[in-house]
Amino acid sequence: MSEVHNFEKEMNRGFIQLVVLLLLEKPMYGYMIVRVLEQNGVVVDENTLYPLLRRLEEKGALSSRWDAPEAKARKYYQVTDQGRALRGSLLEIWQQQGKAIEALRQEVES
Amino acid sequence: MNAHITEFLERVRPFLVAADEQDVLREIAGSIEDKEAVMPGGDTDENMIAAIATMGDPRDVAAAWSTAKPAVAANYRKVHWLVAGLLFAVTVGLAIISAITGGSTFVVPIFYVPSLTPLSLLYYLPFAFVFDYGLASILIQVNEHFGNRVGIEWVRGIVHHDRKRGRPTVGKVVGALVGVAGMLVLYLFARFSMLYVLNLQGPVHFMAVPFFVPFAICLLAQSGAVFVVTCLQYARDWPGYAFVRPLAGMIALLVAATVIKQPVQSGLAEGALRGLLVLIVLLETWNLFKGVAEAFFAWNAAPEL
Repeated sequence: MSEVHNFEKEMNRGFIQLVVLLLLEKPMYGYMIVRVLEQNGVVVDENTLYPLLRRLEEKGALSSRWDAPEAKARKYYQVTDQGRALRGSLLEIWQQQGKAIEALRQEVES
Repeated sequence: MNAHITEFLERVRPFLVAADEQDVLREIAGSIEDKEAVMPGGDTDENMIAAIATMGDPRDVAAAWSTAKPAVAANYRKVHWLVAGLLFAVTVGLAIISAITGGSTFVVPIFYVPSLTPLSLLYYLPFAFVFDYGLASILIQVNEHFGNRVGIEWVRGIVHHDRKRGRPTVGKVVGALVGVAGMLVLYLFARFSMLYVLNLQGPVHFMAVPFFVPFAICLLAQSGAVFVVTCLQYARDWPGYAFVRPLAGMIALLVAATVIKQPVQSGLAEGALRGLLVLIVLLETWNLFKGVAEAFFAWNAAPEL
């Protein structure tokens, strides 16, 4: 079981990036992203998500701003034009990979 | 901000890189508060403690959340300084011994100083520190590569033993001043040959040898440096003085020994005095290493290695 979990973690690295780029069309903060993803069946650890957000921000795929109208300071992330372009490319790859896996699976089964 | 969060952030902070420290700490705080807010019962002490507990070990949190890449991983930074401090203490100690005995010194294997002069010190010591820091980095990275968790128990033992030092008392300041006075008297005796002993030929100078004056000047310089740093430490408590005091003493010794270096003399008296000087240097080397360890443990609020 733990072996499967390790493989899942490896597979999730690219997947979570793509999901985040899809989700952040509107500004969201870290914990909100965790909750929304959970509601959609994607469990992501905070220790994975926050560094990923910062890495995407460093690469220009996300922009961020601090919003602290109340006591709680929250950093909102949103996808940039560069991020949208990246998302488009990743989606294409994702779809190609999906097709390839489906084709291979059918070939093996037949 | 909640006291529990502040306490947790202070435990994370030492393992972060300055470049994104504030950003990461603010996000961690926000994340904990959000977690607590959705717990049954809302804003209670128990919920806050539980929310913090879900974050995990502070050093793991820092390593996971920070994207800045230090040369040495955050978990190892303190040990890195300790090893660099130990290597530098030994380097300075060896340089002083070389200066006193009139020999050469070198940083293995690339930097050779045939004879130390005050000018060569200006570039030798900073260069040696950079080299020692780099060497410590390599040692730690090799250790990391092989997956060992760094633990230098005996270093911790030394530091814990000496950590109570803190700000010096008036007595220590006076003691340092008495030390200067004592060395001044020693110098006056050496300089003006006032110590006599009687033998069959009548009164003769006690230790009236060319090495005695430089020896006394060395000790005077060292005690003077220690006194100055002790006064500074008394005026303003700062953990770094634990490191500065022995370093100042050693550099004073080194400069004095280099400036007044005499040709090597033969005879028991010179040999004994040189041996005594080398012993003082070794003790100061040890003090310097302990100082580095204490200073960095104090600065980092001493989370366990």
